[in-house]
Amino acid sequence: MASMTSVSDKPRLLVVEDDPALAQALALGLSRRGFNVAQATNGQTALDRVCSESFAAMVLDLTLPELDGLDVLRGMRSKGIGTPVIVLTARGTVGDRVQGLRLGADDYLPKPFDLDELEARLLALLRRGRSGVQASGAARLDYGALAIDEAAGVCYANGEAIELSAREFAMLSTLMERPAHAVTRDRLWERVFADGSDAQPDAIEVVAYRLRKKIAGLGVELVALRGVGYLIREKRAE
Amino acid sequence: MALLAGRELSIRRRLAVLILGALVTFLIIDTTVIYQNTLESINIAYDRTLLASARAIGDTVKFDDGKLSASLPYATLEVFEAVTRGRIVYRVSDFDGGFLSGYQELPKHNGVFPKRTPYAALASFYEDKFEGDPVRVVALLQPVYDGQSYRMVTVQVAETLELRKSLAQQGLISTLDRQVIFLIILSVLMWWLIGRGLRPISVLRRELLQRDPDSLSPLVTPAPRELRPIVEALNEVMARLKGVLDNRQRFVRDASHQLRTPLAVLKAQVQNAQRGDLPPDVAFAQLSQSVDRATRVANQMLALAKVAQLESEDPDLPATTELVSLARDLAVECSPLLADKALDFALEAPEGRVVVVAAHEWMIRELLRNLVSNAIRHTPPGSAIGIDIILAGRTVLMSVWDSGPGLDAEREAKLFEPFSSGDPNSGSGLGLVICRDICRAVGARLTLRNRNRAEPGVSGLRVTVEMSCADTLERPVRED
Repeated sequence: MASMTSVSDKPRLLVVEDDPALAQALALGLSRRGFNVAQATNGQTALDRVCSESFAAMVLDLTLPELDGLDVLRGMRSKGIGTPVIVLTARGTVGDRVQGLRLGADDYLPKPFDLDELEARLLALLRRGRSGVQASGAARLDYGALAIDEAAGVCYANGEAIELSAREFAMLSTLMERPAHAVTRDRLWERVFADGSDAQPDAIEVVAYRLRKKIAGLGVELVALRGVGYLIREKRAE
Repeated sequence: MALLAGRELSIRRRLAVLILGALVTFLIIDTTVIYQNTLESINIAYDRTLLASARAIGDTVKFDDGKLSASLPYATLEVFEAVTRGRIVYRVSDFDGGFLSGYQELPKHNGVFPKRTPYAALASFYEDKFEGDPVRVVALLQPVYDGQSYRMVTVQVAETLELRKSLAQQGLISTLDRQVIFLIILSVLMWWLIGRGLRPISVLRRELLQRDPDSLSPLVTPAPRELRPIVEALNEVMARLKGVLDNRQRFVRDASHQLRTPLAVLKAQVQNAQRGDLPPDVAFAQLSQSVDRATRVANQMLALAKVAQLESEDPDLPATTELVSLARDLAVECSPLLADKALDFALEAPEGRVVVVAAHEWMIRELLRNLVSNAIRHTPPGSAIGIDIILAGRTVLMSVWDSGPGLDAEREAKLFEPFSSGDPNSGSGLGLVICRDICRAVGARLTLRNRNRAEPGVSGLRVTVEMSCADTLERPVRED
């Protein structure tokens, strides 16, 4: 995100949060991380703005004056506004997450949260894109010495392109969307064998084995969580 | 209280209805038996008279000049008619059963004669109809000498039933009169007696209602033997309530202390940073740690409160949870922590099966999350932790193992005390309390055992949750 971009190129965010201190901290943190942040402090304003303006994504607190966060969500989805939404909530109730997702939220982050985590989730959302919204700034993934140019389908290690098969590339880019966070085998299989291959579920291990060898010595390692999936993490100096 | 005071369920009314019901049934049976006995006695008495009249008629049957004749003793019949207050008709049939004398409308006897009768005669008694009225009939075989041998003519005498009926009815009415009076006296007496017998309940009720609303001290009223279990149960409930309230008070006290501590630390750290006592990066790292700690305490206290809430909300809530996918989910959720400590992780579960337990998913997730985060916290970087799910019949054993130091005896004793975590910097000390509460709520058994007991030479702790399995379906396998 260090590239020279003008204000208009930055993804435009609507941050809906009624607590002034948190709203201010969010606005500051997210602008520094390369977003163009607009704010709303109550549900009604948020609904009006998201319906009349164009945003790349919305960060929505659930507990809001005038109109509850879930009402905003319901309201905008019923009007066909497809802007991706990350819901923030301090509520601990079981049903919240489920209800939020059912009403059309795209992701969910419990308070208190890590700003880096919020950024990562927002970027992932923007990459995934959504009907009618232009995803932007999402073609490049960096982690440690590795960089992936998704559009070009090339992976760089310390600036030099390394040779990966299409399946290895799909696996690595999936894992690099959330580094140091596991991705289940089923999800990896869907991404790696997206071409409708009739590969066995075990085939993912072969891809992982080859990928592990190719990135060995680059400061990033591929780790298997047995029975769960895979993740990549930076290798520590021991 | 509503149970004792309410109109809809009264022990007194219930007892009264049941006893009265039994009594009335008994009286109906008794009356029926008495009525039938009366009828029988009346029949026996009047049958004799009927037979006597048949004999009197039979004696008049003669065989003269090859011809049968019967002279009719009207006087005799009139006497009988007077006695029985009914109408008497007769019919005499000849040797071959043809009509000889009397009333031809009286149907001919065509039954069989009993071999033995209580009377010294070949006679049969039966009910029939004469001109539409029910009648009691006797048929008598009368031997008549026809010059060569004795042959039988049949004499029938029928009597209408007015007297017999009215006599029986009189008997019935007087019986009923007696029974009804009996019943009324008994009912009143019973109602009063039941009320008297139940008086200790209203005494107890009054005492309960008059208690101080805050009082949870045991009841000391002397109660009759039947009520004593209830009083004892009440006292037990109150003792348990008192325990819960005491616990809650202690918890609130501890909790406010636990929440205030990280806040006080934060405040001090912020002031130090403001004065420039620490390099900014060190100060910020400390602040971030304190915030994490406060967050953990707040989350865990909310979790505890929620376990209690879910437990009291609806214990019969039909909730089910699939363990294998839940464990996989949780591993993904915790994977940043695993990556951070470079821990190896393994989930061992039955191949190709779903393992369903009857428990709220939130509870099981919270339970597993606490166990896994304990395991991560106590395991040194670069070693291993894991989750095993094992099916043993209808029981499922879900265990979380780590490669930490395990438990020593001193630590084991204080395991389930709130806020007694071994490490004051990392744990809030509520994790295992939450686990224990959840296990109690879902009916699971929680055991902590050092791994070297089963796997000699291996260091670490294995925490096992044992619960009954609701379902273990074959998982639909992906089609190739």
